[in-house]
This record gives sequence, C-alpha cells and structure tokens, in this order.
Amino acid sequence: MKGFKTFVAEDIPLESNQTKRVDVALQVGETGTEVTVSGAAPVIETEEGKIGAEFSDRQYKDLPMPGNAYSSPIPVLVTMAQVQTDEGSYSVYFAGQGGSQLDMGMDGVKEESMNTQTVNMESVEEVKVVAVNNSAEFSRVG
Amino acid sequence: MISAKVSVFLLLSLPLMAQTSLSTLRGKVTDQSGAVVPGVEVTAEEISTNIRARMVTTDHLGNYEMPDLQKGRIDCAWS
Repeated sequence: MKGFKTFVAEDIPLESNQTKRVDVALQVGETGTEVTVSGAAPVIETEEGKIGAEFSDRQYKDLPMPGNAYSSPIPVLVTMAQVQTDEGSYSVYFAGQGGSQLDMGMDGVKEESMNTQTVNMESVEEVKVVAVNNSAEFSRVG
Repeated sequence: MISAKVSVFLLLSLPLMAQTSLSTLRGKVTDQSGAVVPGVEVTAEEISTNIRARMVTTDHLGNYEMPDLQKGRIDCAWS
C-alpha cells in the first residue's frame, strides 16, 4: 500500500477448525520498508464462542509411556482441558456431557460409528476436542 | 447407468467434506490513527511448505478474510 510500511507477522499458529483474528495497524513510511513482528496472534479464542483443546503428535511422543501401550486417542483425551473422568469407572465426560454424546470425526469427516480403539495415535497428527459451542456442521460436542 | 452416476457423485463429494477442519484467518487493517485502510494486499505463506497459500485485498471497511487455510504455521504480510 502506497505511503505505508509493509507489516509482516511471522509464525502465526493456526489450529484445525479455528477462526483466528489478526488486526493490523499500518505505520506511515516508505513503501518497501518492513515492520516485522513475531507471535503477534492472540493465544485466546476471540472470534468464536468455542472452547476446545488440542493434543499434538509431538505431545504424544513426549509422553512418558512405554512403547505404544496406549495407542488409541481415547487415553490422551483425559489429559486435555474440559475432559473429565469418573473416578472408579472408565467413563469420560466432555464439559459435563457423557461420552455417549460424543461425536467423532477424522480429517473433518464425521464418523458416527468409528471404533476409536482401532485408530492408532502413532498415525494421528493432532487430536482436537471442542467441548462447548462447536460449529454448526458438527452436531454435538466433538 | 444410474448407479454409475451415483458413484461419481460420491467420489466428487468426499474432498469437500474433508475441508470442514480447515481454519480461517481474518482481521481489520487500520492506520496509526485508527482509520480503516482499504485495498491492502494480505498474503499468507505456509512455513512448512513455503507455498503462498492465499492472497486477498482488504475491502472498503479494511476487513480481510482468508478461509480454508491448512492448519500449521504461517507468515503473513500486509502491504
């Protein structure tokens, strides 16, 4: 833009199924000069009422677990925010909702009958839980 | 003949469904005084692939939006 310095924001992290806002105030100056910032994007969700958490493949590999004894995504869910377990049972709750209300999808494709025990965490890049205010295309908590 | 048409439709529809997990980047561009700046070119480049993922221009209210971005880290430039 003529009369303004170019504004560059480096290394903005984008999670899957996320809307991120980056507002920019351009500075007056010669075209061709640059203002560079790093990590400018907000960490908290400001665009949607969604509350969610992510678990990356790197976090999985760093877990102090022997071999791939817990290779299903289900055990890693309980390490995430908004996910609770019922002491003494194997039930998992998402922001207070029971596991029977759980809806899962893989690569954005909803999977009504997927048996999560057969999905190996070794081949998963990221697990995302959206417990509150999920997008309309996902009918329940995801 | 009918069954052949149905299977083609299913093949075409799969990539569209897979896009529901993609991300959006949006924002507003102002100058130092807070006035909106239309016509600013915004480019997003995926760091892992060095691909220029998207190039958009701010509208008359200084807003821009880039839908369907892949998850990951990006470098952005407003010029």
